[in-house]
Amino acid sequence: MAWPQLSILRGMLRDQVHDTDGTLYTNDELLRALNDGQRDIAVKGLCCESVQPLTATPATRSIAVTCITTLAVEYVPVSGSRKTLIKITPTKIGHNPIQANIPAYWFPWGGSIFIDPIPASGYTFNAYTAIMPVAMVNNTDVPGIPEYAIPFLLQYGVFRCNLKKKQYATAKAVHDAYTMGLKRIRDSILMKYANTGADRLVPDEIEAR
Amino acid sequence: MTLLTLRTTVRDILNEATASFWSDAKINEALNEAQRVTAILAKCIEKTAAVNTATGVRSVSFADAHIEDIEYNGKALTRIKPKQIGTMPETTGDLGHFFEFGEKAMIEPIPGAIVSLVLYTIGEPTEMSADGNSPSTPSCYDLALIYYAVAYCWLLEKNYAGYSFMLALYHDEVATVTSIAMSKVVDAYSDIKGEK
Repeated sequence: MAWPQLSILRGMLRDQVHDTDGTLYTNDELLRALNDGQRDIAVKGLCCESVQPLTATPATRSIAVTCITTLAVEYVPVSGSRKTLIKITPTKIGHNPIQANIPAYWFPWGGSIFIDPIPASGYTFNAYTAIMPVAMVNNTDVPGIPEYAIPFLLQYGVFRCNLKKKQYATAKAVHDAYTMGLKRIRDSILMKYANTGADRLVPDEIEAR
Repeated sequence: MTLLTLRTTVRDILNEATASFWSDAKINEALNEAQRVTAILAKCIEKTAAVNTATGVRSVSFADAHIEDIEYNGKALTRIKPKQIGTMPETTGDLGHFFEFGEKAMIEPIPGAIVSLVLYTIGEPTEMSADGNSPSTPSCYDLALIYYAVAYCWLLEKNYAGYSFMLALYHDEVATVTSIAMSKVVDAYSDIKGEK
């Protein structure tokens, strides 16, 4: 992903907020707005995806994970099939069927994932996570979010500039559109969906003809 | 973000790059207020604590704002109401239930011996005072803190339109981030096995 660099992005934002000569907004404050925007998009879109290998500490339930949120946990046994664990809450600890010494469940808590039953040894897992993008600093840096989210990043920048101008109606309209767009992207692409039989097969009545 | 970064961004929105109407101390106060409100609204400072009961004593003290769950011997206790003491079907002597009362965890039945518990609690934030301090709330709430602090500052300025706009934006931000990043939705059968 090589487009757009910060200098281009900031120029596009300046065009949209009618401040090409930098009278209203400094480069630094536009940079802060754009970096805040890409963090907000990463949080609300969960679009910066990363698989993180983790190793449990024997007899310890928790494993620290640096991320916005963990979406799934895959158990990687020394031999045999890998399997995703089932997400639960702390309320369900010990109340569901388990096989001795085989991780079956997980839940997120305070920047860690917790495994149930407690790992007896240094089991390994893959955590499927959404992470924060790296902040842009230099003019040649590019955003850490996917390219398709760049229009939303500009919308966030426009929203922030309108806040500074106390244009609340415009700020609200832009923010509403931004939020709605992000939600649609999240629902249609990022939240993952599985094909069902109805997706794969033609309907029975057509097949019978 | 650090306190300095948060405050600088608040100043960007307030359009006051250097302190004039709003002092740095006042903005810090707003940001600390923001993390206190956010911590309890979002229940986002999740902590654990290992504690021991005392023999024959129902209550267990804890240092945080709220208890979400208690684990005993690899199993979660079930939350009940005080009115349910003595009415729950449970093996005599086995800890099975708890409720929160007077900032203490109350165990039912009363422990007959010293036992170890793991408390899953919601913590309170630590005040930020130095510019290098970061909020206690997870970083995904940083923008919410900024929005709250701007609302707070505009209220001080009697900018009521700006205040109400930013406060609504703050609540929307907290609700959205909490539902996404702090999701406690458990897996359903269809999540794991798929649909036919």
